[in-house]
Amino acid sequence: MGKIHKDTLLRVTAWAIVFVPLLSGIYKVSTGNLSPNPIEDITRLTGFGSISLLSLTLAMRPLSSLTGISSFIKIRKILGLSAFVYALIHLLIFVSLDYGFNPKFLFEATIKKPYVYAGLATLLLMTPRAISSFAKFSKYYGSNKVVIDITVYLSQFFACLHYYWLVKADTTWPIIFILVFVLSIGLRVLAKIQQKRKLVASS
Amino acid sequence: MRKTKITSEQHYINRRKLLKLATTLGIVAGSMAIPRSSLAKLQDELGDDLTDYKSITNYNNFYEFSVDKGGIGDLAKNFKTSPWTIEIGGLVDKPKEYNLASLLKRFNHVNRVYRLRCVEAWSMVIPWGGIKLADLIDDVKPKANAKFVRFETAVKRDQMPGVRGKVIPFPYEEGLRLDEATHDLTLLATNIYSKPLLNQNGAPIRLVVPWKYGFKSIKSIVKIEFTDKMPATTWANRNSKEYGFYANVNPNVDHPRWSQGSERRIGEFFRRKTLMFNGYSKQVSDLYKGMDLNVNI
Repeated sequence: MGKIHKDTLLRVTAWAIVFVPLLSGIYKVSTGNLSPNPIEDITRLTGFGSISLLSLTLAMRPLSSLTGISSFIKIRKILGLSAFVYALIHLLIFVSLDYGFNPKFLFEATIKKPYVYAGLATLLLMTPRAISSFAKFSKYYGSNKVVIDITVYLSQFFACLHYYWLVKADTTWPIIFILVFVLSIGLRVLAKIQQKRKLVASS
Repeated sequence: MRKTKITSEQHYINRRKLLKLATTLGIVAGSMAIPRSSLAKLQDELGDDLTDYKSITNYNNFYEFSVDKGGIGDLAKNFKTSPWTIEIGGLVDKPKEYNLASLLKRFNHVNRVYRLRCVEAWSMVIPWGGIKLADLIDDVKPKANAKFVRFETAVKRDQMPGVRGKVIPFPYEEGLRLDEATHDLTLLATNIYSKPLLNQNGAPIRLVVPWKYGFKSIKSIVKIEFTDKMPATTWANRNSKEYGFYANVNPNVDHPRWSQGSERRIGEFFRRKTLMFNGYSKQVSDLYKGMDLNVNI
């Protein structure tokens, strides 16, 4: 009973979190709170939403081992998939609204610009896990579990790099996301080591 | 293929003719209820529309208050700009402390519509009012060995919440070569749309150098100094590979991390191509004759 309750509560919370960037965007549009540069606003909103959700996704396993609440694992799919969707929208806004599909401007803006490649890497590395999260493709995930999990961590790393490389001067948020990345990967590695020790001890 | 919004000279002339015709017929004046004389003022010399006042006053880079462009107006509410004195010193015959009112009385007021191109690849068209920096320089008589002019922004800890931040050091400092400073285009602006500058726009007096990236146009100036050596400037100090002393708008030299080839004009849907010297080549390219602009960024 208690477990089901926790599951539901977490699921509802996860769904609520997932809609925060979208709703804050709708709120800003409807109340006229967008800046004089609205395309930049929604580019930032979707980018920030995506990296936040991706970081949250990867914080779920350490959170679950630390608290002993396994339900955290179950909301990773909602969070992770939405991170992927926001990243996709983020890229689409860049190409369509911001650059108007103008090939010359797009070429200038992307070629030789490392932050663009880091952003693309982020999205590409999220893709296998996003696809395999659907039941239809879960078999594929099962047999490549380790590789696909690593791609998601790499994706988080590239998302941080993308953000860090594109801010003009204030690196506060990128550094926060880098710290979250280091923390979640550190805890993951620590947990693995402990698991091995336990196995060794029990054998 | 999309249409670019840059008006060619021929189009511009045609458009003027059309406008004239329309005005003569009383269509424009009648339907839009604006006097004929104000029509010409709504665009710059390239035929680009002025940016609206609301955008100009709600989208500002002014790190002394915040690194967020949106909220500067609110954060700068308590910034006191009167009385205001500007200290002029260094290599001049007549070092002086001007109070703002007497400075403005002493020199001719000019109105200029300029494009402002930020290094972040957005731009505006702003109707400034102010004095020509050349007039002031003439008045204080720089010595023969003065080659550069250095500017400094006010630092008032109690009135500027961003000063506590560590993103850039304060006071903000900028500089120009003397011939850039005395160029006819270079202004010390005190007005936008004929209204005194709002705090978020650099009240009460700021530099405007329209062929350079916006960060050169230093705000809320308290000090002007003449030097024989190229002065240190805030952004070049932070990263000289990304921000140079000259910082001329140049679509052919990218910021190392992003392109300078195109820009978003605030209020427009499609990006536009960035122009060499922000469209002021005719007036300023002589200043840089023989200089490699790929190196002297």
